[in-house]
Amino acid sequence: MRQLLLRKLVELIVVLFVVTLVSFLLLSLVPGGNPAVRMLGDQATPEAVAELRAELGLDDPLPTRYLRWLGDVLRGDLGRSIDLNQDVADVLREKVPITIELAALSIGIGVLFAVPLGIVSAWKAGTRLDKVITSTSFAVLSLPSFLIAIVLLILFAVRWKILPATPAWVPITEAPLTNLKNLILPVSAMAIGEIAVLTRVLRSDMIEVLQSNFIEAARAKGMSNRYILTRHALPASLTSMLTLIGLQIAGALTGAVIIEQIFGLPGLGRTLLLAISRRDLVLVQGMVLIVAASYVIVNSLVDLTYRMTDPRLRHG
Amino acid sequence: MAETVARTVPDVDVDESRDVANAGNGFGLMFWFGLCWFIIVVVLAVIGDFLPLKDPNRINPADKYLPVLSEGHLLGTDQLGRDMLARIVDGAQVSMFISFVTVVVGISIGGIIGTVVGYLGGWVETVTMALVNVMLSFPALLVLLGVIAMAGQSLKIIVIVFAILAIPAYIRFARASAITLKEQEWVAASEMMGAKRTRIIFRGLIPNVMITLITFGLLALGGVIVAEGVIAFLGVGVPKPQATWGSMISDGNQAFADDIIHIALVPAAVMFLTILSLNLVGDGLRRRLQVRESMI
Repeated sequence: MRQLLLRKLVELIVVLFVVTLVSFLLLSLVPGGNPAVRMLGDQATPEAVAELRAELGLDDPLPTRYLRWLGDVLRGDLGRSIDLNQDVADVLREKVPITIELAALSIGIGVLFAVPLGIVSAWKAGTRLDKVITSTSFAVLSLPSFLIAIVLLILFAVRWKILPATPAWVPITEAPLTNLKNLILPVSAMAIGEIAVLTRVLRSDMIEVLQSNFIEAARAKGMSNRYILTRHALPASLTSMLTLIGLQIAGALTGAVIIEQIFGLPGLGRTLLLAISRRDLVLVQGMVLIVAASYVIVNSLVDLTYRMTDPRLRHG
Repeated sequence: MAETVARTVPDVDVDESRDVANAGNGFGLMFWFGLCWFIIVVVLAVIGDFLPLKDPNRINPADKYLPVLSEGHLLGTDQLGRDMLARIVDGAQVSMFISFVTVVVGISIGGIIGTVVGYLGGWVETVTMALVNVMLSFPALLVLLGVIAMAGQSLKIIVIVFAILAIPAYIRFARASAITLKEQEWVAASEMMGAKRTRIIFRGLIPNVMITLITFGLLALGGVIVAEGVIAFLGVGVPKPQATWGSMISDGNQAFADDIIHIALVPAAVMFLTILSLNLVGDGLRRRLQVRESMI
């Protein structure tokens, strides 16, 4: 057990090191990434640029600059966005909650619907109801979230005009109801796919569990179906689904990029795209670093959790 | 998605012969429907240049926003009066090109590397798999956005990045199949008969690995089509005015303000049907070849 933890930790550190290296090189190797030119404008004389470069330490060898940058990052200083005239860390502090709210609501709603659907589908396996659930979820899996978003927009915002297409952002702390109403479409667009994939995985696990001996034994003891399903079968069928939920959390960080773009939500994804289009590379670098690092950390936590819960994988 | 499932579902999924809903032999109607649609798309993409279609990039403001089934424009026109049918076919060429190159590169390079390291084992395998894990730990969309921010936007760059991003998943998959395969008697028999390693790998293992890898590849084709759509929508896809399904949907999104929905709906429907058909075909083949879902 300790050996596994240690190995996972080493792996995580290596990957995080690569993440920082890639994010660092992203800014250092790009021609347009020369911050001295950006700060002084296109009209600056080569001498002025050279002077500022020396002042900023840009002429030092790469490894020196990498270590200095890494030191700053570890102290929480991600640099300053020239275009927004704001510290990258502050930009992130403002944008991260929006993306997290979107991702958390989508996955929460996904689970809320997937559990009953998966149970019913497995319990009634082979019946018409199961076939409807299974084939619907199969079809939905062929619908990427941005297509769902487009269809929802067409129906609710263009045709019926019930909900706004790209509402102005209101933080949940200021006006919770407006905030939630504006999130109905974006969250649905992400949650529908979650429901489909989670239902499929839960059904598949549960069918296997329902055929095992301990369920047979529970039945023989005369327990009610409801009791067997919720107390015996469900907990035993959750492994794959929980793992998948963890990965979906990591995936939602990048999945939110497109949803935010479609619905004009000012979260991490949209900010990143704006930064890319303005070639605000300091901001791009900071965001890539933070998003990639969280993704990697969540992924390792998920991996570790299911290795620890599943005895068959504990020594793997 | 394919990659997600690979890492998530530990080996606990259903033995499909016991799964009543999936019982029955043969491919079933839906498989054939999927295959037909996919073949139509591929054929249209291949012969598109020789069809009597309008110029997909010809702008004609007088004819803008024509609805579906208009005279002379079967699928209507977009906000610049460009013929939607011609643009769908033109976009199919881009989608099919990107996805086939990505999957073929992934299958061939990833398949060979994965089979070789799976068969050889030892430190070669350890080092390769560590690298693969590092690559798979990166969120693909971010890598893509980062590269495009640096290298600029072009079809060539997009295809290269997609292909490189695809390889690790195939390595992992091929290695898993190779490890199972090398335990079989015929491998031991060939080794005893003095067959060279290269012969065992290239004549024995790789053809077998490829069968399952192609099933995975079919499902992955759909994933690449989605990825193209996503980056086109984000405005970092194949440069305009080249039509792609993703860029057409993105154009259509802007027309919602004028209450026009067919510009987004037509390419969205085509994309959905194509991904669905690939999933149907891939799923049918997977069942026939008895590849477990958890492996993919």
